[in-house]
Amino acid sequence: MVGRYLARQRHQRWLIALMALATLISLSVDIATGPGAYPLFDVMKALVMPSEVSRVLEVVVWEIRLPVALMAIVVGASLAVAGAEMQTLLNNPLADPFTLGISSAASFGAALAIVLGFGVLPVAGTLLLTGNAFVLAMLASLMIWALSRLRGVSVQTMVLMGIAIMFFFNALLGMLQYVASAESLQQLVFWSLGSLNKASWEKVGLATLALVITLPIFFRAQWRLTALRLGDIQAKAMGIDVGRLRLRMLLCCALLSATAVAFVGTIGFVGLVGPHIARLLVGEDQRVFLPMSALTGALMLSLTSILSKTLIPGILLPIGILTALIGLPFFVSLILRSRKEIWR
Amino acid sequence: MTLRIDHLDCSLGKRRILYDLTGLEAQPGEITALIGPNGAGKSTLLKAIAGIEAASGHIVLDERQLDALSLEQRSRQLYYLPQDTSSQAALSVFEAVLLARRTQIAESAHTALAAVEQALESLELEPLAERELAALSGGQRQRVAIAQAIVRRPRLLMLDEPTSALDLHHQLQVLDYLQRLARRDGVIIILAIHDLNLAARFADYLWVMKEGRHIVSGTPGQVLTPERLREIYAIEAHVEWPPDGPPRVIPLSALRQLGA
Repeated sequence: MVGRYLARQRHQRWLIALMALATLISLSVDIATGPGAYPLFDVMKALVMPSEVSRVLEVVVWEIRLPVALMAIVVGASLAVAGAEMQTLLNNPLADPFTLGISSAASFGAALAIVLGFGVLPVAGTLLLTGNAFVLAMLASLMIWALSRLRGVSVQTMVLMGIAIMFFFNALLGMLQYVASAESLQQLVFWSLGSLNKASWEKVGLATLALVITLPIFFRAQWRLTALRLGDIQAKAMGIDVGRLRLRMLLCCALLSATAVAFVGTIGFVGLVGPHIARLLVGEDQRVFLPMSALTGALMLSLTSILSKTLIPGILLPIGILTALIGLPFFVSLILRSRKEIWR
Repeated sequence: MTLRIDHLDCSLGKRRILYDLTGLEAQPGEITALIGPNGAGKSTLLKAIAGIEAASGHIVLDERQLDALSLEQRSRQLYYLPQDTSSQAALSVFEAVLLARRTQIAESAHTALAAVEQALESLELEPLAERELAALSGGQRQRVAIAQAIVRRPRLLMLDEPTSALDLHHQLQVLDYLQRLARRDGVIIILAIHDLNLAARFADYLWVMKEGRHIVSGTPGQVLTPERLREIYAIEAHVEWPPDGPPRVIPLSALRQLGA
C-alpha cells in the first residue's frame, strides 16, 4: 500500500517536472517570437552571449522580449496560485481574483488615474495607474476578508459577497467611463483588456517579489490548507485555527492578485482554469497542487503571449481577450460539473 | 485519566444550546454513548469538548483544564469526528488519512506512512487506498473518516453518529473495533448515537440529553426502560431482557401522531 502511494507521488513529481519543462520551452519560444524576424539561433545567442550579437538584437531580446516573456510567466503563476488558494480557502471552484471582484476593483483604480488623474498614493507618471490599481485590488480583498469575519458568514456567502464587490466596482467603473473623454476612454479600454507589453525589469522584479514573499507562506501551511478541503469542522477537529488561517492566506492571495493586475491589467480565467487543470493532473494535496497550479498558470499565460503575437501576423492582440476566449469553454464545463455536485 | 465536565453552557448566537451540563464522567477503556432526541445538543456537547464551539464551564481531562487549551493543543489529545464527512476533495484515501496524521504530529515520513497503513488495514480499507474521496460511497467515506480519527491515536475519541451511513455488517464491525480499541489502548470513547440497540450493545454507559439538558445516566440496563423511553423520546416501546446480553428496544408507536 505504501509502495503504491510512493509510486503515485513519483508520478505526480514527474508531471510537475514535465510541466516545468513545457513552461521553459514556451518561455524560449515566447522570447524567440515577435515582430522583427530574428532567427531562433541568434535570439538564443543574444540570451547567453549578448556581446556576440548586434546591439539592436541585444536590446530587442533583453529590454523588450525577455521582460514581457518573464512577466507572462510570473503573472500567470501569481494568478493561478491566488486562484488555487482562493478556491481552497472559500471551498468554491469559481473563486479567483476575477470572479471575486479584485480585478474589477483594480480596473476602477486604473480608471481613477486615467480619467480623473486622481492618485490614491502620492506617486506620479505610470506609477499613478499601477499604484491605484494595486491599492483598489488590495481594498477589494480586504473587503472580502472583513466580511468573512462577520458572524454567520459562511464560505458560500463570502463568494456571493465577492460577486457583489465585482458588481459594485463595475458600476463605479461604468460611471467613470460615462464621463470620460474619448481619448481616456480608449486608454482605459486598452488597459482593461490586459497587456504584457508595458513590462519592464522593474515590474518583473516587483511581481516576482510578491511570489517570493507569498509562496513560502503557502508552502509552510500546506497540510493545513489541504485539510481545509475536508470542511471547516473537520479542519478544526484537526486543531487548525480556520479563521486565522483563512485571514492570513487571503491576504497573501490579495498581494499576489493585486500585484499581477496592477502591472498587466485585467487577465481573466488563468486564476480560474489553471488550478482546475492542476487539480485534474495531481489532485489537491497542496505539496503538489501548489507548484502544479503555479506552473500551469505560467504555461497558460506564456502560451497565450505567443498566440497574441502570432495569431494575426503583424498585430499584437491584447492578452486578456485571448485568455477569456480560451478560458470560456473551461468555465462553462466547470459550471456544468458543479451542477452535478462534484464540488461541495 | 478521566474526562469530566462541570457546569457547561453553550450558546450559538442568541440561542442557548446547552444548559449547565454537569456529571459526565467518561473513563478510559469505556464507551460512553450520548443519546437523546433530535436537537438534544449531543453534537454541540462533543464540539464544545473539542473546542470547536465556544462554551463556558469546565472540561477536565486527566486533571488538566481542557478549556484553557487552544484548539491545536486540544487536538493533540483528543479528536472529534463530525457527522458530515462528505468531502469531495481531490485526495486519495491514503492521502486523506496521511493528512490527518500530518496535521497532528511532526515525524519522519516513514513512521507516518506506516501509521497510515496500519489504520487503513485495521478498517479493511486497503482496497480503497488509491480511490479518490469523491468516488466513495457515504459508508466508505465514513470508514475513511474513522481511519483519519484513529491514525491520530487520540486519548479521547468523540464520534458523532459514526455508523449513520454504514450497512449492518459495517455498523457491527466498526463499533466492535472501537470497543476493542477502547479496551486495548485505554482510549476514552464518546459516541453520539441514535440507534439505542447499538448503544445498549456496545456502550458501557449511557448519558441521556434532551433540549440541551442532562436527563439521566447509567448503564444501558438502568436507562433503557419503557418509562424512560416514554419520557425521553415520547414513544411506547417494549424492552426485552435477554439473559446473556444487553437490553433490546422494540419501538411500538409514537405518543404524538403527525397531523392528529
